Amino acid sequence: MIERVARTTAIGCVVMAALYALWTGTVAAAISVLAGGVLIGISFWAIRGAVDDLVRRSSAPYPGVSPVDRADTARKSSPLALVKFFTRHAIVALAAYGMMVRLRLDPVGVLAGVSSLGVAVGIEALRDLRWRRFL
Amino acid sequence: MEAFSVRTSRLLLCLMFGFLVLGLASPVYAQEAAAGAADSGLVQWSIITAGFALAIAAAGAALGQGRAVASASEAIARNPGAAGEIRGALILGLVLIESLVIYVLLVSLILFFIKPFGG
Repeated sequence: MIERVARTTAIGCVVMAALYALWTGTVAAAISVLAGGVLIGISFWAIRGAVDDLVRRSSAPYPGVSPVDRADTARKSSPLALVKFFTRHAIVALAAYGMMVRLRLDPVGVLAGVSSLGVAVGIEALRDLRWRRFL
Repeated sequence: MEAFSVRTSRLLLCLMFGFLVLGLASPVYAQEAAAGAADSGLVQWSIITAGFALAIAAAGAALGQGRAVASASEAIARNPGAAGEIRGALILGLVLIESLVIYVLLVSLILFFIKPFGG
């Protein structure tokens, strides 16, 4: 499901960039929509890594490792996961600052690019609804 | 019953499209309104509002993400076999919450640095 949503997000972002470029008549508008897609992509990638780490640690069995050693390993590796989880905010904020302030990208285009995930989830929900009606 | 549900889903689709069109059109009205109101008090208040908006959005998102992660961890601990599906729902939920914070971050950056109301 996640892979499908990610693929729909990427396709939706490119389609929105093309439509916005056609509407405004500039290539910079398309770049700003794609930049918004990059922002949500960074967030998606970081959250996915952190959640995968969390699920792996909480559910996967560790053959041959005693519960005490397992807890010790989890305690040792948790700072790295926490750093990765929390620096995503700094990365997203820095990227957004660079896009909006330094590169002066179109704010409406960037907001539209960030919305591409919401659009993708809506499309997937509608598709799911449509399939369920046929079942 | 099925015709009613088809009609309802069409109505919902039309409503969503209408909101999308209104959302795309609103910055135009905002620019028109902003042209006449370039005053220092407005700039000051817009910056204060941006700061508070970012703080409130971050706090709300932190609470929401914390609840989502806590519920997902509990669900995985209760039923490890459903970890894959819970993981998918958790990632989607977290990213959707995060996207709202990114919206507010972008609006705050616009108000802080681009200053659409002058100043």
